[in-house]
Amino acid sequence: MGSAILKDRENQIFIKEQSQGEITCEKSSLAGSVSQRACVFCGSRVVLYPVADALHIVHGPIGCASFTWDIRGSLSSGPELHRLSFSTDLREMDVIQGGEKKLERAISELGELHKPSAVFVYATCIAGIIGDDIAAVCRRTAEKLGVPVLPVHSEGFKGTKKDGYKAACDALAKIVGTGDISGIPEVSINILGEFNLAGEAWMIEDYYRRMGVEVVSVLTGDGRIGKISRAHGASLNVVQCSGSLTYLAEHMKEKYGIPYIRVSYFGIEDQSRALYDVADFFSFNPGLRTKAEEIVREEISVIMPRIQYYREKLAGKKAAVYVGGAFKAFSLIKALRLIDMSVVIAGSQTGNKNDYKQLEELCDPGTVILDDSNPLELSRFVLEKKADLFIGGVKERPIAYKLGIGFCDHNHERKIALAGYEGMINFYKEVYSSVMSPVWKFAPRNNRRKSHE
Amino acid sequence: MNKKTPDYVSTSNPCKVCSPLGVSLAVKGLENAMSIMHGSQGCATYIRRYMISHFKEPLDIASSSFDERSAVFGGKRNLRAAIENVSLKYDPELIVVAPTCLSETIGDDLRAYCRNFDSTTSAEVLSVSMPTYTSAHLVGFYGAVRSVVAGKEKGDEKRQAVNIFPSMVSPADLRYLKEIVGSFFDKSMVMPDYSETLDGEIWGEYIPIAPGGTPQKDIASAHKADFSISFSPYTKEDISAACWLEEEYGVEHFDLLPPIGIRGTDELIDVLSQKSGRDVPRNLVRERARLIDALADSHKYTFGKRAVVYGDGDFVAGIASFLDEIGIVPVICACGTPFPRFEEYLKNSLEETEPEYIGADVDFRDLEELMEGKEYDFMIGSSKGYPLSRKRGIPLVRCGFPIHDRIGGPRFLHVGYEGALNLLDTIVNTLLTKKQDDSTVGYSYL
Ligand code: SF4
Ligand code: SF4
Repeated sequence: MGSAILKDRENQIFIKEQSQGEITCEKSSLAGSVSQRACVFCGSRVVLYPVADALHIVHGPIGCASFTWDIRGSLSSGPELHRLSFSTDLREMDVIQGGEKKLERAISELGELHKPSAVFVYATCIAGIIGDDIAAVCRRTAEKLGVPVLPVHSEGFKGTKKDGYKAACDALAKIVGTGDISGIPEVSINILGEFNLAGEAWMIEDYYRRMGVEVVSVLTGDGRIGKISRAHGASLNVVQCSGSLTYLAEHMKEKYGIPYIRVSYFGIEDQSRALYDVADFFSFNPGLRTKAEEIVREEISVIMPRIQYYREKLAGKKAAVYVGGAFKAFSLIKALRLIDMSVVIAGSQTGNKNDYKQLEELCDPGTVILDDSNPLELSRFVLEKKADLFIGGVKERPIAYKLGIGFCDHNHERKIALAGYEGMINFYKEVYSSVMSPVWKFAPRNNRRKSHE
Repeated sequence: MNKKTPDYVSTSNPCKVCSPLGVSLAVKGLENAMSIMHGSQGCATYIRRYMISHFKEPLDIASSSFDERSAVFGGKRNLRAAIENVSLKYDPELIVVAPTCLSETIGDDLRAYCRNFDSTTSAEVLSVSMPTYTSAHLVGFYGAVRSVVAGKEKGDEKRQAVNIFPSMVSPADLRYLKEIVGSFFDKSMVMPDYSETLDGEIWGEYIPIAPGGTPQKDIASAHKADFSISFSPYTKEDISAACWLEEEYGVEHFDLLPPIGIRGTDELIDVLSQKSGRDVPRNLVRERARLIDALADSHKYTFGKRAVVYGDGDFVAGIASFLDEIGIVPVICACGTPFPRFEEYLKNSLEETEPEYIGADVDFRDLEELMEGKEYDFMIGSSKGYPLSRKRGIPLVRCGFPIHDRIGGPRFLHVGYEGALNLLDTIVNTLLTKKQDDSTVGYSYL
């Protein structure tokens, strides 16, 4: 076998206090490297997916839609249009003759059938290459249907997942500002970058409500077009995650003068700060801070004994973290530290220079930091660093299992709430039940009986 | 019967995936081989994700990672880089390049690229010729096998007596097929064979290319075999490896119905027995007898039951044929992909029953409409039918590909007598569970 690291990828790997200079990132994936990344379309799909009363039509051949059908754990309290898959299913003739007519008919037909509050039309690679004027089709059909029909310029090859985030934000920006904002109190926020996986947005909304803060809109968890259209009425945008919705926050700051703060709801420390920072923003109302402190105290007192239990069991175990956005890695490192677990590998698909600098500061010496990695590299370092646990997404799971170590799913497909205080316990429980499972005793790594030649 | 032509508009909740997925699955079943999806990164990553959720095994599939430049000027450079990098890291003996919709649209000539490019790779590089748009996963699967058999540098050694070209079956099916064939022939080739590569063991270290797969040497000697067996009699000949071997090298070809159920399996066993001159071994005779005994035990539970079968063409034909022979009516037979001769295929697979609907290029919305207003006892197919089965409150028997919401999809046995027995038990127990759950009495003997 060749070396696990390709020459052209060497500087996308950084070892704290061993490597020189800084990590290279924000590059497009190297051909043939079996990147764990998806495409621009994937980025847009991730952001818009939870909008439950909109129709999501994928304009392209069938695969792009098939692969993203009901793919995530974003819950809705009402309509569930987002869980269906719609595609123009382009065929040879459409590619030759252009797909605009077909798209127009698809939007009209599906629009009339499902009566959505808006339609998102995703451009895939093919739609881009055959040069369909999707924006024009959207304009025409919007008139007919009487709801917004928004093009999402997510042609797969035009950049990385991040460009997909931006394309999605552009679409959302056209909805924001169209609703009636009368009656929205001053102490009000939007929650951005929270997708309501396993009901997480509901938990977080509830904390803020208990503080006395009105949540105007969550983007896009349990999303509704009506609520999103009123988002410009809030006083503050609270942005989570590695910036999938930062573009929108920036846009709203510019256009409506709404400031934003960055938060994370993962881990006790970050979750608490997310509440305090909002309270401090509305410092003219000191009651908020008091209320936030109360909530934090209350919640922590409930979970602390259980955390203690997991700490006793898991202290000293080592984790490898490979996630989509670098921001999530920060929170994970802190959360694992709380139970005395260390992170020996930290990487992301789409981090930028700043992210990696922060990551480096946060990590212990010797930690391997990776940008846009792949199975061979990941597995090499997992073994080298003797990790007991891998935290990542579906594509990383078999890597962990093949190596005979535990795994915790921390991406958009999970069905377990990991945010907030309650989520923290779920997270530790997840880690615990994988790392401590007796099945690993039978894995070749721990078993003297060799099971493969 | 194809309700969607000529003026279908869109597809909702598809019952198919695209052809490059089929290619990568087939290549997973070739020894020391890697596939490259020639197009944007997303396609390869989505395909990996989709298959990992079923097989629960690593699925390293490379992409030539198009960017805007390659999308406009062609992907030759990217392909070369991909081939070099894959060689460097995985050191495969064979690299198979699949077109994606994107490379097909911009007119990249993969064959030419793969034939003459200056690279340091020691691997044999072959491309798959197949249409990407008009087809779906099964076409990619067959197309890849054919392209590799045809394109591979030929050896002069005769290695195997028979080439077996299975359909998109499970790793468990492949293992069992090999066993069956092995009891008639000392040396045979099953291609592709992902029985180990996609249903393997814990490694302890990461192995770039999973061990197992159809030996490269056997593939190179496929033209020297006495005969071939394939199980897709109604598929277009231009994607059949066995047809190619027959045309080019005169290798005798038996194109059998899927070996699912008694009739299908009997047919396979008969050919094997007749060609090898060996008697059917005792263990197979016993398996068949046990199966028939089990059919007798359960016939009252199955007779006259109404089933909805969906999936790709070969799967639906095979399952429908089995249901038919045990007295269950495959009332709706829906093929998720375009399949020109599907109706003919289905009708020739059935002897006892008559479906109310047979059609191809059906999505789950069509299926929902088709099922409207009538009663069915169960649905049978991949886990993609779950939302519909839940909505209608009809039990679902999960089998085929993909199974995303249960464990064990790759270990589900469909083919042969043992496969039929497994299907029978699963179906009958599903019906009994439903009956028991619905009953106010809760009988503990059924
Ligand atoms: S572009 Fe074609 S090959 Fe790629 S995912 Fe979509 S359907 Fe499949
Ligand atoms: S065709 Fe393009 S948009 Fe669709 S999955 Fe592939 S890379 Fe993504």
